[in-house]
Amino acid sequence: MKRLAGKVAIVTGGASGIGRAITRLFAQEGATVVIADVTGTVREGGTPTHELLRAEGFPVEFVKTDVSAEWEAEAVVRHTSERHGCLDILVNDAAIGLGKPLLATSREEWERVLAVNLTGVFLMCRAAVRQMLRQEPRNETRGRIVNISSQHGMIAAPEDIAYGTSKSGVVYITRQIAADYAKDQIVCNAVAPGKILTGKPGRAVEPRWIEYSQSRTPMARLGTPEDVARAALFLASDEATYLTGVNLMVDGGWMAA
Amino acid sequence: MKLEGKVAIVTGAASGIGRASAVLFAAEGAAVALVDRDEHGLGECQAAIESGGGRAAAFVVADVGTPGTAESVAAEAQRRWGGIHVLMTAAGHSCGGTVETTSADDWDAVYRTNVGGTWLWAKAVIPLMRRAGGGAIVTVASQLALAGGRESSAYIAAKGAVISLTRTMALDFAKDGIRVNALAPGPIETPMLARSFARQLDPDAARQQARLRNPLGRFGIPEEVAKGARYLASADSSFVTGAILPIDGGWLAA
Repeated sequence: MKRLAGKVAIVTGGASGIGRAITRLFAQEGATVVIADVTGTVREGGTPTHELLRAEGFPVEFVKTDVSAEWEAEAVVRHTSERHGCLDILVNDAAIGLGKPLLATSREEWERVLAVNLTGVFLMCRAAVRQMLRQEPRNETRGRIVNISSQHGMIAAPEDIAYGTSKSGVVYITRQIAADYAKDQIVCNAVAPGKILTGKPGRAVEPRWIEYSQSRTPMARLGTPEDVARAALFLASDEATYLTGVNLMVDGGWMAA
Repeated sequence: MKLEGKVAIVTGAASGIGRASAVLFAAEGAAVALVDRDEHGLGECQAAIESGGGRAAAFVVADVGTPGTAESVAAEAQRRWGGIHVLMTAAGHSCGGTVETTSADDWDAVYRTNVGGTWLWAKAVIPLMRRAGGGAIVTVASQLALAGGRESSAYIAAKGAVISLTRTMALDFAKDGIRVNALAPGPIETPMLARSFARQLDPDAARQQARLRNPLGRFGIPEEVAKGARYLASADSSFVTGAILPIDGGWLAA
């Protein structure tokens, strides 16, 4: 029994990494998925996600979207509801990192990180909630939002103050939307991933950051994108009917230590 | 089937959250050892599981906080079904009252069931889980331990202890592949909730106030907590440990 049968989902940042794993899992569980990403290129390499999944027979499409651009955020929600009839699930996964501490961060860099990671979430949620309010409830729910936060947003993000600050905002906006729209049967939760190995190159996999992550992760391994995707699926499905405003930690015990 | 071939022990299985979770675990393929002091309730739970084609065995335990009981139940479940993969400590007890009005005996009883009933059972299954290469422990705390509450001091303090205990057990046994997580249910329609409102001067007003305070405007049902328990017990949550999962209708967010 597919857990998202008949559902329509938008996954921002769905082209790569965690978003790619979420898109795949949601499609496998019966959802129609619209990937909203600035690029279709896969950061960790490979066939673009929408092409790969379409070739496997899943209804997945790609709509080039910069979530920090108000018009583009509105447009992908409008496109999705017009093309597929409704919007059941929004996953806000699109995010950028900067990798700089306070004194090295320029104002422009700070604002760019907040624009994508926090304002992008705000813009997408606003467009999605407007659409969901127009929909009749199914199984007592008009729509569900899953925001990807981070443990960096609760504790310090090593040398990435803009990223950490933006993610703390994601946790808060999750609670606010949950509280404000529970009466309208819109559910909003977050997943806070720990260190997830997505295969992408760059700062995230520099040896010192891998070692640091291993030292902070009580479990014997680091996380996979599928670990996060399964948590997102739980929160996006009817398994989570009395859950809203939650920030579910998927971090191998990092935050417990 | 998320728990195919697994063996689960569920305490507090005669009613409420424990019962709904035991039934759901069995439906997902687990063999379930049902533990409670209520023999009649256990019988009903076992019948419900078996009529659905599931496997269960009932163990009447007068006090989950008495050392030794967990070891004998775990040994028997292991003997019957070959291993222990999941433990859910849903047995709870609450007596109401502030620190001023709670007797020492009542305080101890609440701690014994809620905290003793968690750590003693974890203690018993951990060596078995370690030998099997891993396992999942699901404890039951409460939103009250995070959000605060009134006139239930022993219970709230004990549930706070369950949260700390969950996290520290998660750290101690992470490298053994044993995951330990807590559910923090909000107000769930169970006999325990009914008893707690009945203790109020105006039970109906207390119910209504609690409903209005909750963003979803209603109480939860045990099956909704059971679904969270299933997620934490299964491989779906294989990178989740030391986490607290509120199932509270948004109470903690508002």
